[in-house]
Amino acid sequence: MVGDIMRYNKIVSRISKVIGLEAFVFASFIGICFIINAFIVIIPEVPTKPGINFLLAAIKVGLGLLFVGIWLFVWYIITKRLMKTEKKTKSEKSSAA
Amino acid sequence: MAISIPPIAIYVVTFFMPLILTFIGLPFHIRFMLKKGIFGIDIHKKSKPKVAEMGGIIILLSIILTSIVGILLVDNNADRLKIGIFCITVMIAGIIGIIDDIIKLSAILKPLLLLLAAIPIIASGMFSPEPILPFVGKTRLTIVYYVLLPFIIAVPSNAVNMLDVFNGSMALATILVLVAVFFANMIIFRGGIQNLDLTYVFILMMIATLIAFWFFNRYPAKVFAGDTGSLAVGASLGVIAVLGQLEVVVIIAMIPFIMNSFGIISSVRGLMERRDMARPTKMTDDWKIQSTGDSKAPITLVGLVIQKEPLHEKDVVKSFSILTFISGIFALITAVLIWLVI
Repeated sequence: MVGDIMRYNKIVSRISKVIGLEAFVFASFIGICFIINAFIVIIPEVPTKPGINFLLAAIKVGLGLLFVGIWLFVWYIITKRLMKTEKKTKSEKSSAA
Repeated sequence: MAISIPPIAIYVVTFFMPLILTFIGLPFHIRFMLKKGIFGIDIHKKSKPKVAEMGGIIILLSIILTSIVGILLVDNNADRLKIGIFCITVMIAGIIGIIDDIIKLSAILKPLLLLLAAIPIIASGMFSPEPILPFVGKTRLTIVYYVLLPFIIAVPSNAVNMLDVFNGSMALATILVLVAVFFANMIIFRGGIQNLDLTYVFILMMIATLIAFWFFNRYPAKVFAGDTGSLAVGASLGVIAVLGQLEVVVIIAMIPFIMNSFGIISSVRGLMERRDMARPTKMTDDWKIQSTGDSKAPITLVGLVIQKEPLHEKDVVKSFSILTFISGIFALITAVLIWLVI
């Protein structure tokens, strides 16, 4: 039992960077939701003018999707960079050896 | 006069039935597949054992049979239709998996076909195009949601498929995702199990099936899920997300799966089948997994986990579990934030 816990602790320390990335992805998503709520949801509706109302709704959805797209893109870039850095470090280590 | 079955009885049946079916079915499946010569070689073991392939067929059969019983147990047509949609969508993904296991589909065709798995959901209209976001609450996406829907099924299917690389990794990680989604549903919709909520039915069905499957797929594996199993299981996560209005929670709970997919897609620059890629890992003399260092190999989550030093297969699976457990906690935090606004 104690051995198992020790083993898990060891594994957690090995994957700390990946856990950090997970936390970043989560925190940035929450941040984006906050921004959407603070700046996009407040765009008013104009029920008397259906054309303009539709346009405003489309802009809201478009901006929301843009933010989510940015979030996914940043996630993708960081994952890519982190994985490439790890690979580079590994190849440097093996060439030094 | 129709007899109304108490929800708790439906939950019990939809949990224990797939558990027992999978538990009983897999030993027969394993014997049959080995007898017919349909097996894979477990390359991560010194003895290179023969392991029965396409265990996903039993997963699929368990889900289909339990869904049929579920349809007979519920007492209204809307619920029957929802269970039917769940079953058909998972079945389509599973059949695509069977075809892929037998004739090997191309890396482009497989995800394209998986987009079709969303057709039953779209045709039925039994969903709400209003994903719920933290702080924001319900959003009205309508047309955009219809465009995104096929991807909500195809993306988890492929992501689960890409993580099914070690003994027990897919089953264990998916069970953790489902447990997180179960409690997230409880938090968001303030619903106990005293009332019938089909989201619980689907989650319990999948957890039970995967627990029984994991028993045979854990280290050292006696059966592989194959694409049949991983695509069906992934599709079930997508359906649960759509029918349960838990899209955001499922995405957060699946962060390690998506991270792994991002790594693979970015490093091979597009979609490519596992069998066509350079191997990212090799075995050490003491049968631990280490990186090959091949620049053409895809960059995977495994690569990150074994970066510092080689790891035993069991420890790699433990790493996946830890990562999924943490993303499950994030999913629960997301659920609480959603609960605050709806």
